[in-house]
Amino acid sequence: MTARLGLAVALASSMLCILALASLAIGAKSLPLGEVLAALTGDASDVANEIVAMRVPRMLLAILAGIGFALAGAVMQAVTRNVLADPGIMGVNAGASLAVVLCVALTGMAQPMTLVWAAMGGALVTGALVQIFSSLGGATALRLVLCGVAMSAIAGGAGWAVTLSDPDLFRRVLVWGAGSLIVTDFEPVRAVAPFVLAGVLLTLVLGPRLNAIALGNDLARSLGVGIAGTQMAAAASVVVLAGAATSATGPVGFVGLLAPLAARAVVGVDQRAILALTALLGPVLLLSADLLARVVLPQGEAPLGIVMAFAGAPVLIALAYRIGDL
Amino acid sequence: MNYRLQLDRVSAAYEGVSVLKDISLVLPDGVFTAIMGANGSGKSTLLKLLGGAVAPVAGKILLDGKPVSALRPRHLARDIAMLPQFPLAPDGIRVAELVMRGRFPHQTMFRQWSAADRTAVDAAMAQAGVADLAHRLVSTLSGGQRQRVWIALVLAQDTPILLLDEPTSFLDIAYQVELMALLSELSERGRTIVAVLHDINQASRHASHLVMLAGGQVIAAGRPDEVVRAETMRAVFRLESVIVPDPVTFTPMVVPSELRRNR
Ligand SMILES: Nc1ncnc2c1ncn2[C@@H]1O[C@H](COP(=O)(O)OP(=O)(O)O)[C@@H](O)[C@H]1O
Ligand SMILES: [Mg+2]
Repeated sequence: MTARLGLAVALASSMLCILALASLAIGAKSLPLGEVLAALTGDASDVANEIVAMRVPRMLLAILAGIGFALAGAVMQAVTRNVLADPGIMGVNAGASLAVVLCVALTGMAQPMTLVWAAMGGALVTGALVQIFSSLGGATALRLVLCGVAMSAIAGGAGWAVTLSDPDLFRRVLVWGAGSLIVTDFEPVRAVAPFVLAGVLLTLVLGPRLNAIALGNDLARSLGVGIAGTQMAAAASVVVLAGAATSATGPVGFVGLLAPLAARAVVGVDQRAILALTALLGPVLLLSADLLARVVLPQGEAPLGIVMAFAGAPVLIALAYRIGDL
Repeated sequence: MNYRLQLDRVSAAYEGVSVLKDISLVLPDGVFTAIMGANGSGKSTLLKLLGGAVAPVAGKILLDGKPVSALRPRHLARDIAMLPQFPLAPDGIRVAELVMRGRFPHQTMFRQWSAADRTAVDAAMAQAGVADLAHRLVSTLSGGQRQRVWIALVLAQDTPILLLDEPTSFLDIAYQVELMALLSELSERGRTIVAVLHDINQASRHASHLVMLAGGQVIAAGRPDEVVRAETMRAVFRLESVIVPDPVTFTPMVVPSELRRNR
């Protein structure tokens, strides 16, 4: 089992490196790989140096957001014992995004760090509301998902309503609101990175506890896992990871669903292994989608969120067929 | 009689509905105790109270004189293991992987898997008779095999006190006998076993301490010959019976004397 995990991690890491380099090379003006490598050490032509320098933050942000969305999904799935749990489906991303839109609408152009805090606040509020509504009359997996979907629709709708009410705001958040990674400076990277790192550390501690939670709350408690504490820590990591990721890219769905799904299919049931592989597959997915977004239209870029939805929806449908009852 | 685990005037309720009222009870060390009572009489609740999984509305559950609620969960888990009635097996998990999860309270962030863990897991699987199933998917096992895998998991936890909720359900009669023998053997080697059981005759044969619950109270507690009496059967199950000696072990055996009844 560990050999399998090792192989999977090695493969996913290589894919991640290749995609990271590709995301520096491919774009409106594509560069040969040799020139990208040269630019990384600073001895390419000035134009190439500049293009690569502009693409580095975008690449880093894609990796951070990929980790954030994917790990948030893996943690949610583990703690709810529900394979359909995902920050996109459960309304967390939409809540984070609504809070960002409101923040921009109220304060004008906000700093990336402010947006991260706003996004985490929005994620917390919607996550808590979904939790509360779905536990009225006894929480079931189905109720949780339905409440999540409803909350997602409400927060998403509210976000667009706010955006559309103000042409100026519309112009500024339209691109972001559909999910995108158009950044050229390090400011958002610096704002998002500490939170993603904190989330990663939290999931490191959570891994073994989630393995116990998988056996049911009674047995987990008897194994020495505090249920309430673990659920709180899991919720905190989801809020931080999904919030930070959403502030970076806008609400991008499906990463939190697909990456853990793929990780489980490869490494099996150990949550520590699932989390490790998920943290690599999330960025792989997001970088791939971002590359696709750059090249799929004859000119300009497709919104990242929409590319991801096109790729993710069929998988969700296939999944719904496979698991007959939630 | 020595004891580490004790209930002191404990009451339990779910959403205001009282289940157990003012129960005081000691669980003797190194003894196999069987908890019995009608369906819904609060047996599982009593076990969960002992394991710290349910908090009492009044009274205290004490381990070595200290309330279990004051102990850190991980420390409690090194003393008390509890197998609930309906544990969940994750989809796609294999037997050995599941049993390994019983080692959680002995592991730390930086020492996740040790030789001691390996030894405990192997010993537990051998004791529960699932060593040859180690690589099987749990989902492909029969109910009885699965039950023995769960037993292996709590054995791997390697605690002096073991709480088991209806461990013999799903087992055929031969495995029931084998499990009961295993439990009394474990108690002879010093472990404290507390198990919810339904078969009174089996409990009388293998357990040396019986606790009978009814109406939220302990109706009787003690040796099988003290507890298994016609009056107790009438009080607990409203069943008329005659008690005869078990032809093999001479422990008390309940023979219902009604052939048909209206509850
Ligand atoms: N989680 C719960 N919520 C509400 N009521 C419960 C819960 N667990 C048990 N009960 C109720 O408490 C009573 C005792 O249950 P339990 O301890 O499971 O009995 P037993 O194990 O003896 O069958 C029953 O009436 C049951 O319906
Ligand atoms: Mg029960």
